[in-house]
Amino acid sequence: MTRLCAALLLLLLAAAPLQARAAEDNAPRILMMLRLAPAHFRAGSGYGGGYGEDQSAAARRRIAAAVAKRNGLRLTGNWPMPIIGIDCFILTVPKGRAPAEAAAQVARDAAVEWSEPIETFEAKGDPTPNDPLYPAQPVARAWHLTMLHRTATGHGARIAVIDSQVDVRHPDLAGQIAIERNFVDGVGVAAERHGTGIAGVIAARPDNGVGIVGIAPGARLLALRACAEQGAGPGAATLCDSLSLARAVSFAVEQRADVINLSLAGPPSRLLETLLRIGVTRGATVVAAYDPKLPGGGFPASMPGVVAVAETAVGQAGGPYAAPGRDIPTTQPGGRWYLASGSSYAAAEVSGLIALIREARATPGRRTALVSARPGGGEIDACASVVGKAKCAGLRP
Amino acid sequence: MPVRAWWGRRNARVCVPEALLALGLLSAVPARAQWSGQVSVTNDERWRGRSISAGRPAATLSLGYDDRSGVYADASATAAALLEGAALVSAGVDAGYAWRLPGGRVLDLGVTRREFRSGATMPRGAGYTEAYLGIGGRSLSARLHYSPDYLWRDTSTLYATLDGVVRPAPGWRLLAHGGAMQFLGTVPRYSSNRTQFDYSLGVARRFGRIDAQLAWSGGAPGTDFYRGAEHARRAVTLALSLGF
Repeated sequence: MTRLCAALLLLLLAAAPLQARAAEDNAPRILMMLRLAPAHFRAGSGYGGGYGEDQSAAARRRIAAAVAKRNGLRLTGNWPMPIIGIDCFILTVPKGRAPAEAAAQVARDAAVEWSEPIETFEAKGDPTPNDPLYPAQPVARAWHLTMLHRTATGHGARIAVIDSQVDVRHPDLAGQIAIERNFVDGVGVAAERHGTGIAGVIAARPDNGVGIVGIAPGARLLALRACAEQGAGPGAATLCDSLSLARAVSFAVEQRADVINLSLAGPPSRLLETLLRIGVTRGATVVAAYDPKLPGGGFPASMPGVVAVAETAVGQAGGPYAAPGRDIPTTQPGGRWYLASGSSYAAAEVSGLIALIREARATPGRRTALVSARPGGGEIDACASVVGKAKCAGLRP
Repeated sequence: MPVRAWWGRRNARVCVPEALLALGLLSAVPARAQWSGQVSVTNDERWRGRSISAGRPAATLSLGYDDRSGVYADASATAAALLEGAALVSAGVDAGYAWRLPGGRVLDLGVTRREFRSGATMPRGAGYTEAYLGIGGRSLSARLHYSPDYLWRDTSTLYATLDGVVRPAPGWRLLAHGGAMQFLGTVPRYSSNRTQFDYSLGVARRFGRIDAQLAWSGGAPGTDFYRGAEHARRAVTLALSLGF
């Protein structure tokens, strides 16, 4: 027994902890994807379900460390993503070296599936409040929201809000959040403006005597924090990086969210695209904000199969769907409300609308279809989308 | 009736060629394949609700090869600190194909050969060959094993397992395992029952590169037999593993 204790002690001493320290400094980072071999039976070991905890996880860390060393980079953490068969490693790039060049060099290594820099995404909304008591919601008139709710409220739908921190204690959101997770490195926060506003547009509680009515109040939200508010004040930007987004999207897909709302835009990311494609294959509808200043409206709006949504004002021929996006009353941290504008909020409205369509017109194996001014884009006819064109002619809000 | 199951007709030396073959495969790994290894130590090496280390501490070395095609091979050997000294008590190899299904689950098909050997109380070894088919997901996996020679010539068995894992917090896992084995045809002399069950419940925690598992396991019906006496099949075990 003494020998056993000594052996156990030696093993513990030999273990050099590899902790995810992705946020330890501000040095640029890249992502390196190694193949995640499927979990399988192994002679001589237990074989419980799961992944990432067996000996192959240690092997991938060893391979990743070797690749990092060969390329003059530092390994700082990893995040297995079994739904796409990838173990995503985070490497820190020395200052003075371009992340894109480092990623290209790492991608040439035979052990690596692919590599990409961690990109920055920005939430597409103007968060400045101007009239917190403004009572009118544009969708109440434009989309006949009350009438839509007689047909469907999004009951049973799970909508992933991948954004900044949602204020889960807001009186208009209490009870609407099914799951809350933080995928941003570092210390979490209680509530942030953009995420709270998006959640309110989608699922604010009706008939509670305060605030607004969400487009799909019967739906439940997965509040997944992948973005962070940069500083304080109403003008603070909300930024996300592709690693946090990938973690959140992976989680949403694993949780089988019906709708994945991404009210943000940035440069293309193969990792994100791979994860979103799996999500779409598994039946999720991905909704993204369209930014006319970025090529193709920005990623992920530019990705085939993603529902790209712009404010009504920027709707254009051959472009994205359009939904009301100016002066949208919505929830604000601290139990308040404010007016918001931007394609972020238009996208959130469409996410809610898709939950209504799924409930009202659910047909096994059939994709959710929006009725709009032209196929694949333009002004959305919400009533026709939820209730059907034939029944909408006589409806009034 | 005590179950004197594990030490039958074969000697552990017969699995040396398979182990060498597996090691040979590892040395020829192409760049985009992955090989892996693990060393683990435990206070009592358990196998299907019985001790294969006579209730004594044991260490296991495992090596694995995963090709990007889904083909894999593994080899392992377990040595125990028996009262008479350290001895090899078990060795095994497997080869199979793991196919990731579109929904994220994994279909697993393969063959394994395992040998047991007593370094002390039992004079002879025993072994078996098994073909298995399983499906696994993030939280649950189920497998069905068929052996044509389970510890004895012409003794065929079906063994069904269900394993589950819950991750209540980062770094923590709660583990559960249940297994039921059915002898097909004549029940061999070494067993008093046609059906055998085994189970375990455990908690695992990662400490850096070390994975620690505390488990409560057992089996029924019957008792275990080693060091010349009967022993309860229930046991509490602590295992530490280091992957590389």
